[in-house]
Amino acid sequence: MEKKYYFSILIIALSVFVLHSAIFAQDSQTIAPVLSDNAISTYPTPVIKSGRIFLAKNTKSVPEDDELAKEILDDYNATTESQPVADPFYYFNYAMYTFNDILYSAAINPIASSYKAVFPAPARKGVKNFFFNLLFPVRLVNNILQGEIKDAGTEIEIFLINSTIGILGFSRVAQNEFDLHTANEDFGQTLGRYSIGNGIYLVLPILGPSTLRDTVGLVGDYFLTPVNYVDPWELSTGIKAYDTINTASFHIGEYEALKKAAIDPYEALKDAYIQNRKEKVKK
Amino acid sequence: MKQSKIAVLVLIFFSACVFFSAQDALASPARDQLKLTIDQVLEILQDQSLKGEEHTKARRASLRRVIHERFSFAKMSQLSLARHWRKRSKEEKKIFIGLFGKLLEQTYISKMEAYTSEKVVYVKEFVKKKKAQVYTKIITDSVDIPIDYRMYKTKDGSWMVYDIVIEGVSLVGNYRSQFDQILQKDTYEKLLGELKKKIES
Repeated sequence: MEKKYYFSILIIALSVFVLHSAIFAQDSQTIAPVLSDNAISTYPTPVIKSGRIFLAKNTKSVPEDDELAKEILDDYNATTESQPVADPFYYFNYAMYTFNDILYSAAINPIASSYKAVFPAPARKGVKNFFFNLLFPVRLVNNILQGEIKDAGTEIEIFLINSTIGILGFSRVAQNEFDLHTANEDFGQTLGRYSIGNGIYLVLPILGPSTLRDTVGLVGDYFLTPVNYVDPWELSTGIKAYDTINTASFHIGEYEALKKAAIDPYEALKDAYIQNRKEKVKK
Repeated sequence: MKQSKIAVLVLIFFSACVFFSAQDALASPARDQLKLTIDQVLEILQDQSLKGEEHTKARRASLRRVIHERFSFAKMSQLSLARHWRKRSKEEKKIFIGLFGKLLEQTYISKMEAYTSEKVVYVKEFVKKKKAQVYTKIITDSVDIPIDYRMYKTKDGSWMVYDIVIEGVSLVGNYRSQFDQILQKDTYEKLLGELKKKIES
């Protein structure tokens, strides 16, 4: 009994020591090279590991500043320009882009703005959560298709908790109280996960920027979206329009900001879409 | 017997505490320096004497001063022009940095101004030799906005931001494709003109 006691103290003393060596590593302003050469991507911060690697690779020489610039440039070359998304339907896309732009500024934005002025944030948030909860089949199926069984399980838990305790999904109890989180999966991302490229760039009317792959994905997800089974179709469309307005009410000014910052708004929107989707496929 | 079990549990709990506090202490200099700047930005944005339309000029001036200490607009310009950068003379580069820097500054400031009362959390970070990426999130009551800062280490050991990634979209990457698109069709002078127009509007 006594022995056990001392043994755990020893373990803790050891772990403190290990952790401290990691802290000292930080003090000397050198951090472990945890990254592969051109991918700064998503892994959780390795805590103890970094200390160990540091101890091993401490003595590496540092490159010149110009080399650093070149290295960073190479990072960008490796990520963006090597895979430009073709835009063979530029004129059609540009016309759709103009159409969407007008639709947004003349209808969606003013409606969403006045809707936002009338309904307080908690109410709008509840509606947003409700629609998010409804899309559970899309996320579940695509998690399974991507082999993310653990996330699929979490998705089920979130759905069950939010539909019951969260009152039909209006409240995000699972996320806020139980700290359950998953990435938003859809069929476009599933296809991307299986190394299917973007294909060509497409701007869809109303729906906005997309690619051939993601458009196919939208069709796939269509069948998993409960609202699409609402009869008659007028009601279904109405619900979707309401969802759109409600969602837009959280993003007022963002599209304007993007346009304001852009030299070439069409190109900026295209690139932003491609980059954003690429990030999502990775998750 | 029972007592020792409790003792073990308590010890495990303490070691867990040590573990998590150590995790916090592990923040890299890149993150510390970035945090210093962001804290200053938030302080200015929350400063009552600088709030409102009538103080916009003074507020922006303070923000600009703080941001310039940490953001390398020269590096951002170089990376955004990419292969077109080398073709420009030293004078042209200087002018470009001035113009483009102003646009980037405006973009970043207006993004931050939109979230004055929110808090910023530091999610994680990666450091690799002279490059680092610090992941932050602006937590608002309706959405979380991920903003990642890509940084490089200068010769004097300070870390400078060379790219801002907002919701998975890299600013440098975004301007890079715009500039490339324009320069494929038009002249450099045209691009400069567009930049000037943008800043004045």
